[in-house]
Amino acid sequence: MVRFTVHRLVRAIITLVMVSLLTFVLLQLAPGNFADLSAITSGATMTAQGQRDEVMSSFTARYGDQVPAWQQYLIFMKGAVTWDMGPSYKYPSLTVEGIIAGAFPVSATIAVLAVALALLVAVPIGVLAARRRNGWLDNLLMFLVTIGNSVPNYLMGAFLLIILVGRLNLLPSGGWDGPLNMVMPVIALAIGPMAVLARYVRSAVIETLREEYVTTAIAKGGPGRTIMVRHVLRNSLIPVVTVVGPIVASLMAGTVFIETMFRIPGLGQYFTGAATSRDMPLLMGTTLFFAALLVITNVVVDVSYGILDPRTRMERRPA
Amino acid sequence: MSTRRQVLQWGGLAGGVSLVAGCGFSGNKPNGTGGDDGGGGSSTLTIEGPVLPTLDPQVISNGMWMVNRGLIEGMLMQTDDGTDVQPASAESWDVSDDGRVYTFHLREANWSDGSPVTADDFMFAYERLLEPKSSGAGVTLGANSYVSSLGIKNALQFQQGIVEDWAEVGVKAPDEKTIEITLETPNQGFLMGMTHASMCPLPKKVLEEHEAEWELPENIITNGPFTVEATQTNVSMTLVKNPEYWDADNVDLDQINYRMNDGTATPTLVPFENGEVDIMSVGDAAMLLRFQNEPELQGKLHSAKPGSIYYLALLHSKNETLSDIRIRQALSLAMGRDTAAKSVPLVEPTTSLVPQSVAGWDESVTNPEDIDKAKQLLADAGYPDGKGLPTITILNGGNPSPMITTIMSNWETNLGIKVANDAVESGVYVQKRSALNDANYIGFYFGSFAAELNWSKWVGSLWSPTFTKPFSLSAKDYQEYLDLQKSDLKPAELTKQLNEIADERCSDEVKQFAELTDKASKTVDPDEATEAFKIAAKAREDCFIFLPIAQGSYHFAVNERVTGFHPRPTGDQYYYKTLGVK
Repeated sequence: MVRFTVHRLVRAIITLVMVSLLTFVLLQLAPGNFADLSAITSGATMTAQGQRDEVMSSFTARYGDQVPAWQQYLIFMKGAVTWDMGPSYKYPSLTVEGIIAGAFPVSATIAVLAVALALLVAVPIGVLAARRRNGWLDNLLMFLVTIGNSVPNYLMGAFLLIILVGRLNLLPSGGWDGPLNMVMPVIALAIGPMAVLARYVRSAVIETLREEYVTTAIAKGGPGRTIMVRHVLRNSLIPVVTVVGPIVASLMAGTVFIETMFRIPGLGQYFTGAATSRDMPLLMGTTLFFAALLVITNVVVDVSYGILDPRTRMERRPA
Repeated sequence: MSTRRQVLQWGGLAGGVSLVAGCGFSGNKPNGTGGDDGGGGSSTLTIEGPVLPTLDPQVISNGMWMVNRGLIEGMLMQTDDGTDVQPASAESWDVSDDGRVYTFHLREANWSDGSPVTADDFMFAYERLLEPKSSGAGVTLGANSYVSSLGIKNALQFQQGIVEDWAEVGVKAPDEKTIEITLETPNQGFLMGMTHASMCPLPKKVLEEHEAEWELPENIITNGPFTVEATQTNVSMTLVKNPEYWDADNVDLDQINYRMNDGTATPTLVPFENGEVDIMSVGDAAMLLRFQNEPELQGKLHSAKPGSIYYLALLHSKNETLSDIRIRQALSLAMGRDTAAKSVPLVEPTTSLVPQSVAGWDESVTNPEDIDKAKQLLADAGYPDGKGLPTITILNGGNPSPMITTIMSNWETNLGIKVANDAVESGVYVQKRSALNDANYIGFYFGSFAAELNWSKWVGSLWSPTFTKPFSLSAKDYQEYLDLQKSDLKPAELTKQLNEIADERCSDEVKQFAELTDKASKTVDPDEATEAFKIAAKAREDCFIFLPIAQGSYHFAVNERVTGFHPRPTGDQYYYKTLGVK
């Protein structure tokens, strides 16, 4: 188990280094720099090219005056490892680590709540559909699931905004002042995972229902509900665990539309804003953070899966 | 196994709960931004506007406009309609007979912590702004480029490293309450230029103590009508009345809840219609149409005077077809601006690069459309009925405006030429605008400008001679110009050599425009200066390097309970000081 975990961790570190290198190289190759883009997006474009170069060199001063790109990379990575990545270009009064520390809990909350809501709805739907397999209820539920899977979260967000706020005036349209602000973003984000998870639960339950121990339990004459919950559902959820982890992690990274639509101070806005404005420290910092989040989630899932089901451990001792 | 599983289960649950508990509602929580009370209390307004990544007035971002709107007050403010200046931190000012020396007398005023505003705060801010490396503490991103239009003696030279001694720059503080500014030449746009955010004072002691973090709510002090109580980055900002403000008696509002909306999500009027928001800027075409068509929204749209120009600018290309001025003129005369402007609500066609609201504007600075003449010019250039002319491309960042697609179809119909649109990501747009593009890529880029309404700004600063010259260089000379930019020369020497290429090798039309602008800038009498600028403006139109399309304005949805809302065409749009509630 220890060797298994160490092996996964080493691979995780290699992945992170590769991600950081790729991000840095792509950013170097991308056209335009922070000074050029700021001048454009704020409508002030009369700055002479020479002056913009000056401005850019004052930004990169933290990374040494006129140092080659590979040195900038190393200096940034040192900062990343020591959790001291310096100020963002776009938000000069905030450090990259400060931005991540402040915004991540917000994104994470929305993501965790959305997945929790998705699970609450998806598990009963999946079980019901599996038990009524190929019946009209199954077909109806799976039809709804397909629709849920096809509607992008920002469209769902816009629907909710128009109906719950525009028509019914039940909720504040956005902001981050209290639990009411979470309702619409959480629902909008939950729809997609809900559909995915319902499908997973359905097929897992169908699969488990075919297992011999279920047949045995039924033959023993146990009550249907107990068999369903204790034998079928519990074992069916093992494959679902592997899907939930990455869904949570990707939701934490990918909620930019929802965050801007509902004015939520999460990481997604910083992440995409850093890419479009070529804010090197912030983009590198947030990308690495998200990559680490995904990698760690996968390691945790792998390890926990190994614990839950010893058959899946990668390295088997010789028989 | 079951114990391990339980540990995992409970661990996961505990993790989830702690996450939710730490979701950050506490801390900088703004008051009253919910939708319960129709925008807050009786003297509170809720205003929606763009995201403010920083509040540094010397960094080009939407934050600098917020500073100017009501946080930090410069020596002068604009009048309600934005056509003139009025005293602000400066009580009065004198101008020397030759129009070159301005002496500003600061009033007795305090920062929000009670400490006095002194000439030192202004001097500190100006030196930080003009520092060649754009300041060591914090970065004055590009805002120092605005200074060029003020014409302060040696300011540009200091910024470019040609003059190294700050004492040689024409900004002095003879005593604690006086600022003396010396100009290179008289400048009729100078006083208006002093209302720009980059010319605001900065609280020296706070910047020295907190450096880049001076602008955080816990550190910032202001000398304007409001001060910052709380901020949620990217989401909201709470401003409260500054009791130390010198004119606090004339400030009606106690609080402003500023909601940030970055505009990339679905644009919607829902918060305004709900009464959650009292003032919001409206730029989206579909939203503007609603104000024209829906009775319940009638009278709630307020617009500033037109103060922005949409234009096409020549792209540099290895293919020099468009260096023939007749072709560019033909394209301008056959653009079909009427239909192009109609494709966007509340935009007017124009054939001038100067907005019609600038005092003294008349038809003499325009080149009216004439399709027959355009066809003749094209034929004279060797492309009768557009035959043989390479495809003309219109480059733009993001989604193309309907104006672009209309112009494309107008050119195809009126001149028989082929037109393409190249809609690209902002970074690519920036790169292609200044690159020497391949031979199969000729045309124009689409852009827009907004600025204060005076001649020296719209002729001497926007599309200025210095900016225009490189556009008229031959492909070979422009390549040399670009290569030189990449060299390791010191800034002062680089600027000198770049200027040499641009000055000597630009086209004759541009040289004439430069000479006329220079003459206008040096004219002391305001009326004579206006006439001189008009002649220079027409000379610029006749270069056909920048083709004006339309003029636009800022539009705002304003709740009926709001009083004292005076929109202006400059970037700061309106002042918070005069706002009130019925």
